[in-house]
Amino acid sequence: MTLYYILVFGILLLFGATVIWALWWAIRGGQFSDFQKGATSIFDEDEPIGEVTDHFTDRCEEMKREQQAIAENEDQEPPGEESSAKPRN
Amino acid sequence: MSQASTDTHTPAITDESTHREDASRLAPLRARIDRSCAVPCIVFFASSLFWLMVGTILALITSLKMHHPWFLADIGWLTFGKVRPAHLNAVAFGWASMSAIGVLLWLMCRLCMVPLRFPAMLVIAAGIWNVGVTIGLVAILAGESSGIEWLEFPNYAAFVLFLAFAIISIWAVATFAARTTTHVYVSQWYMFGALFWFPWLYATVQIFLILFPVKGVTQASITWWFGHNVLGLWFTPIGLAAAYYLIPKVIGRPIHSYYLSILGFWTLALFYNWAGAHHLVSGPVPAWLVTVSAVASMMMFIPVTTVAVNHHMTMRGRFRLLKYSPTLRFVVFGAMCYTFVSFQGSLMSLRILNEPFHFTHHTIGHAHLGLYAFFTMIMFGSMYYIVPRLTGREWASNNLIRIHFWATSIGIAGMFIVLTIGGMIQGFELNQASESLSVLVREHGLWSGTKEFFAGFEAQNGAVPFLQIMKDTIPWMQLRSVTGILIFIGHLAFFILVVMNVHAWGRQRFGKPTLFVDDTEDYEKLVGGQP
Repeated sequence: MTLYYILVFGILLLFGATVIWALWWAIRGGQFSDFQKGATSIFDEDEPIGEVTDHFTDRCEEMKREQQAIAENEDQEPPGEESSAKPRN
Repeated sequence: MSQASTDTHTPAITDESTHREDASRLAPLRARIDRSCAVPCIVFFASSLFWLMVGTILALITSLKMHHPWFLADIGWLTFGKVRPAHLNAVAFGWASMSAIGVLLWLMCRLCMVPLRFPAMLVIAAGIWNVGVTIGLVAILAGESSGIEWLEFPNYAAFVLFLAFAIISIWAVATFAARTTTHVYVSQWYMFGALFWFPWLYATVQIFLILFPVKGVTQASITWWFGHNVLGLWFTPIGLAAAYYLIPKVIGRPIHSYYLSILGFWTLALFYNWAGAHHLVSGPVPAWLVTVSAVASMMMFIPVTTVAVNHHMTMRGRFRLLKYSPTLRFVVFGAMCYTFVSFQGSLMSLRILNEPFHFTHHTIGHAHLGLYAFFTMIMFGSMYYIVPRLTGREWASNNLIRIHFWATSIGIAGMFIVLTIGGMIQGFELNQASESLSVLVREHGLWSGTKEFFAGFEAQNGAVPFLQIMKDTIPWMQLRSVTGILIFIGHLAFFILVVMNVHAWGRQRFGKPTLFVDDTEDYEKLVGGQP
């Protein structure tokens, strides 16, 4: 019975502490300081924002036209449309 | 900068300097990263596909036995009580877990921007995992199942899995420590969460149920704490990690609200694990335990809504791209089903909705919606994106891809519908219906009979004979087998595609758009060898 208490409360403390440490590490490391950078971090100059990176090989031309149409629509909207949804920190 | 100072292992490349590099340096790096993942990921993916086929065949046998109980009835290895848990474990720990690990390996390397190191270690882990699943499945079919749902593997098989998992967790920490990016993308949070939670769940349940077994109420509570959390803290985070990376990457648009995605991760971590007792509503457990689980299940609306809003707003205006990308189709389908299944699950934890649906086929429909329509479809989508980048080859046949998508999506949608309707009929008849649905339909016709069935509720528990209830569900079981065959066809198509891609059978196909290079020569120059 003692074993169960040790296990349950021990694990509870251990994991609770780990979670709190993870949050503290993230906050101290500035992980939450710039959400816009976070969202765009998976893009770069080789696979930039606006470029579709996967489609059927028999729909290449159609897809390029689609991408252009989307890009043109975006141009007509006010700049920074996506970033205006959440205030930058 | 404060970011660099906290990570002693991170080299000097920050996100700023990465952006200043020109594209010609980034493509080779990405190609090298993808190529380095090739052997371990393909070993995991190939193994997962093998278990998918095994699991699907076991599923078909199980489904047929529900309405044709004499099917293979004289084979002791394949009685329903054995073949059903064998199906569950083959798809959960064979297909789903191994494809999850394959995706995790590649995604971790991509997001850490480092090539995969210690591939031999991971291939050994895959081998160990396969051995564990094989031992476990044979044990179940031989009658050695533990009898605990989601934990049917006897503990000798479970220990083998644990060993393999330990290797993978160590690898993940080592890779993360060697990362060259400063920012930890939300997918990495989810993946580390999954790697952190799963061993804890598995070890705890082995200790409390197998090694030093508890009994009674505690046993049931721990069983379902484990069963529920395997879904939400192992499979769900990996599915969401894949969706959060692939949806923006495929359509070329960042996540709508990154803040919401972080909020979603931490609220998932906070709320999900309280909800396990909702599998025990109305059971002989303390009422407060059930109420706590219902509260936590309803609180899950928060993370699920954040995910839904995020994905929808990211996709808004881009839904036409679903026509062009196989990855996007599967992943968006999966993400939408995640929202649906989670809302359904949250509502089903309320006592008033649990009463007619518990212990019916409705629950099975819900389970398949989660593990198949959400998780499996996202795994399919991820593999469609990842495998060509590992092998350097395009998929052999666009039509097979389309067959795969439509067969599995229509199959699972059909399965969910028939099981939900069948479950509802079963549930109402088990509880308070005064007359069986088939009798009413025969007397009053389809429409009036159905109306009468749902309207004519009196507190007459047990008014419908159990055998009649069982007979009423048979047509729905037969329809479920049909949807299962459709799903099997989809899986065959995918299996053929992956085998052809990995073995380079069929015409050699390179070039845009799935790959970033224009032809074989460029690709060979980039990776410095044969593709």
